[in-house]
Amino acid sequence: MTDEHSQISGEIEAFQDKFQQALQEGRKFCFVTRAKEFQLQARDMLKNLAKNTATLKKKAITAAYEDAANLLLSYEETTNAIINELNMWIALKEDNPDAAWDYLVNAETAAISAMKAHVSASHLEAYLEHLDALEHHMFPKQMFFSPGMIIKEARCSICGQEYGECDHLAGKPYMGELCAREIVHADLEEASLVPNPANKHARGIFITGKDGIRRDFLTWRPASEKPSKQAQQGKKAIKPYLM
Amino acid sequence: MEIQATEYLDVAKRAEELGLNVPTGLAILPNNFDTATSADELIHEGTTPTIRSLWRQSGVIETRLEKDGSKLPQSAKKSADWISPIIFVSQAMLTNAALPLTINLISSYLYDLLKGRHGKTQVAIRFVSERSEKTQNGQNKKSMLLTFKGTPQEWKDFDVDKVRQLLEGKNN
Repeated sequence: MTDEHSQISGEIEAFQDKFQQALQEGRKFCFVTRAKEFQLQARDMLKNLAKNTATLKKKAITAAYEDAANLLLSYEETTNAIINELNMWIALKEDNPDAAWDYLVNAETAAISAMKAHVSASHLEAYLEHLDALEHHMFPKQMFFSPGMIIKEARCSICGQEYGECDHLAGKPYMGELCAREIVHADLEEASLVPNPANKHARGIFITGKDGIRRDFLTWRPASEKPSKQAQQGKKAIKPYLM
Repeated sequence: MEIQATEYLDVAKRAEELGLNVPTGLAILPNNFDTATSADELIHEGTTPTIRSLWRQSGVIETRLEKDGSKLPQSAKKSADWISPIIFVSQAMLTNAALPLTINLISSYLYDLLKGRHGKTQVAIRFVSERSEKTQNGQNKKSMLLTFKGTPQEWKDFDVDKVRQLLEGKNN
């Protein structure tokens, strides 16, 4: 280990307590009964934590200290998961279940990314079970859609080369970044209903019942022609990993 | 672990018909290798580039069916389940140490890749192998497609020698 790496290890060690305390503080407000103003405060506090983590990660990357960079990526994603869970509770209080769903899916994706980034995040298995319980108890069973595509060209998100021709593998961490396969050119073939989709953001939003009324699937309110501004603002698409 | 076995066509003969390289050891077959009317129609499973990269990095040598310079499109996966391409294993390779290594490489990668989804995601790995059987009329070549389906944890605990035995036609 170089002197620079030792110094970064020391900084991470000093940061760890602060990180764990901040996460615990954030999770304290991940309940429906907690007041919205405290949830907003907790979210802002975690956003600052994410910034500090990113600064430390940048140092690790500059020093080419891969294990530390991946550990800090895992911290970033763990923080991201809690921020998204808080956003979910806030969105539910704002009567915006569409956004709440997207935040829940983002939280799940972030927790999974944290686990992929570094072995130290393997304890998040229990947190994922918690998110899974929220999904099944708070939301009606969703209808997921999945596009069938023929991929003509895909690139590696790490080096930009054709995916499969370089030495990076989708889902693996490389110097503080998870490798993803980015589709550059594909032909859409069809869309199907699937029970276990690759991307849970792709779901049926409206349903028309026997009464002929088109309803919002989550709220059951008759749907307006245009999606609400609130629902559109809540949409934060995340690129799904293709493996 | 769920195991399905179905008869498959003569891989070498089919590769020649389609104007492709004939596999000798290990190869990846396109999804519609058995039904395509020409090489232009062939489509690989979406996981093919990942498997190729994984093998290349570990020194596992494959025969590419595609002629030099030509590339096949890939189908994108629709569900969270992970499906391998069809992996052709020649008869000579069945007794080779490279086969367990090849399978372990895939199952280790998947165990990491599917972290957090171990209970919810199914992994299907498909193998095709050929074997010669003595008949009254002499030697008869028979191909089988075996699909092994299980969770990442089941794959991690799976005795890879079982794959070899089944591909050799034992325990059938």
